[in-house]
Amino acid sequence: MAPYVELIVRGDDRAMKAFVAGYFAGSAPARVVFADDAGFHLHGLRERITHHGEVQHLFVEQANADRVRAALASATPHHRFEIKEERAASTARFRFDFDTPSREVAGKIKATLAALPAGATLGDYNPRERTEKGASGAELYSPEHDFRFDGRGVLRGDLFAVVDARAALSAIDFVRCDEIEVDRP
Amino acid sequence: MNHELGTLLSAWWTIPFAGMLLSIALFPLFAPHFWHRNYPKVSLFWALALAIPFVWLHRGEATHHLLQVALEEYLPFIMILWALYIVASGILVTGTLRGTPLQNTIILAVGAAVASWVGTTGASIVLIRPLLRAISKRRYRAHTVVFFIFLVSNVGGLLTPLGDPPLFLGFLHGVPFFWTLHLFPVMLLVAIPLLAIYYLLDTRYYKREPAQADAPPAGSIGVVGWQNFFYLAAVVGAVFASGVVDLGHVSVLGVQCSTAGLARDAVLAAIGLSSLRTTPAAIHRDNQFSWGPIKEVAILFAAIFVTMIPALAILRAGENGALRGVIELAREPAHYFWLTGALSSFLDNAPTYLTFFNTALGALEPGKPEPEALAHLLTTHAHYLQAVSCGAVFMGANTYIGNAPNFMVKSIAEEAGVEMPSFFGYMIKYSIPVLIPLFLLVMLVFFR
Repeated sequence: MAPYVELIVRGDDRAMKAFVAGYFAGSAPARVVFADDAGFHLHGLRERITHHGEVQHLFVEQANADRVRAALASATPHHRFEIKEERAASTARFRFDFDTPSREVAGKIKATLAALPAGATLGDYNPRERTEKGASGAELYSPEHDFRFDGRGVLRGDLFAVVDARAALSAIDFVRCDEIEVDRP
Repeated sequence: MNHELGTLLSAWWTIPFAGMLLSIALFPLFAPHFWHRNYPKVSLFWALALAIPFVWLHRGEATHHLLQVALEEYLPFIMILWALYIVASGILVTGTLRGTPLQNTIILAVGAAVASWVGTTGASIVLIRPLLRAISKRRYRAHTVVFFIFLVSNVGGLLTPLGDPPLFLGFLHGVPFFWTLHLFPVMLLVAIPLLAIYYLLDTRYYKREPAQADAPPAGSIGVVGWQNFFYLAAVVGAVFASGVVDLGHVSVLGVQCSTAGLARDAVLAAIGLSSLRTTPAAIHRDNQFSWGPIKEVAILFAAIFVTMIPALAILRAGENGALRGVIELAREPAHYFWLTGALSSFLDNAPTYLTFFNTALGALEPGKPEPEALAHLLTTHAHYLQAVSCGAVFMGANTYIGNAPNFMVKSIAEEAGVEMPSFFGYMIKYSIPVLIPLFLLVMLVFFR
């Protein structure tokens, strides 16, 4: 059995996020990841047409799926959250790249990649660090940085671990993360 | 400048000038590594592309022009920038603010206020690092640096010839030292809305940020290197005095040079050397002082001043010159404001200012000697020169390449970990929506 379930639910996003947060704050916690918050690749317009309205993608652990289904159902009659589709999910991946002249930011990137969440692995990683001896100090007309750290890579692995890794990387200036692609089992 | 020469030269003679300005504008964007290593060679190429045929064809007259520009314009220009750069680099703001919207706005206001006296480059050097320290733990920082470029690196330099290089070139051509103070209401019309917009924008971002658990501890703000304020006052005094004291002229290599001007340059040299001797090395180290910026200015402006000679002579010839199309294009003060500004947005604003300064003299006072023409222009058509001054100073902020400190501030901010907008991102997100409406307002109020 795949470790995660993707629930595609029709309903207003803000109401659903508030409801889910409140529901699990008042009972045993269950982690629910909303795809649009975490940076997943979605098919917005196509899904709106297919499902006749606004849909949200929620990722939950298989073990908590029943509780989340029950929580969404209990929102009626105040809110109408209708599960339109369910898919199994296990792993995910995203590409990232960066290019920074800041040694401090370079240090943050290295530290983040060195301490990835368990289950996330780094691949196709090509970092490049350059120093330009003649470019130190402020310059007015020919500004060139004396340091440059650039590279790209792919992070893949356990879905929640990838979500956490992307959140950590995208919080760093100069790092650009592509959307997360889900690998279907 | 001999007016007859301006009527004889064809527009082809302006190609090295255009090439030089375009090199400064485009190479840092499209070939930064090449430019960083080769800008002296590129500058030399354009300077020789003008000087060799110019001297070959016009012999003694051309040689005289070159010497005159070197002694009367280039030397004073470099001396004032050199002195201001050294003095400003000797002032260090210590301590850390918490980077709240109000504190950031105050830093921007102070920077804009001092830029006219210490120069936009000097003010940027002194204040950008304290500002970056203050916002170091903020999530959203780029907008603060952009507004710093708007206010401190550009708009704030409007009020004196020390504020921005274009205005100092005007001063060297006879514009009185305090004449630009008349532009204070124009500066307020731009600076106050900019500060207000920044405050509102930063407040909005501030509210979206997570609580600053690890915000920098607010330490008391201090200033060290106080002796440099004395040197700064001496710079102001020396420049002002050179504009009002008449000590006659001396002949240097056949060029009649103002004795007061030469004395001013000697005093500026003494001030710079004194500042270097008396400023503790720790201040220079903390300000990351280097000779790089002044070396760039010295090399690039040597080529600019050489290549500019024919363009200015042609423009001064007015409708009798080969650039009569430019003269015909600029009829009203609003035209001068936007034409000077549009070119200053992408080319260096100092030569652009001088181009339209001469266009105004050529169009409105054709055939008169420069001192007489300028005196008449300032009494009868002052709005034209005000428009040129405001266009050159304000619109240098429109792009990263409009004014020299812009790139420097961007570079320092990036090295401090602030991800700055791209060249076009800066324009689309900030300068077009924020600055252009304010400049339209300036035109409607002052230059209609």
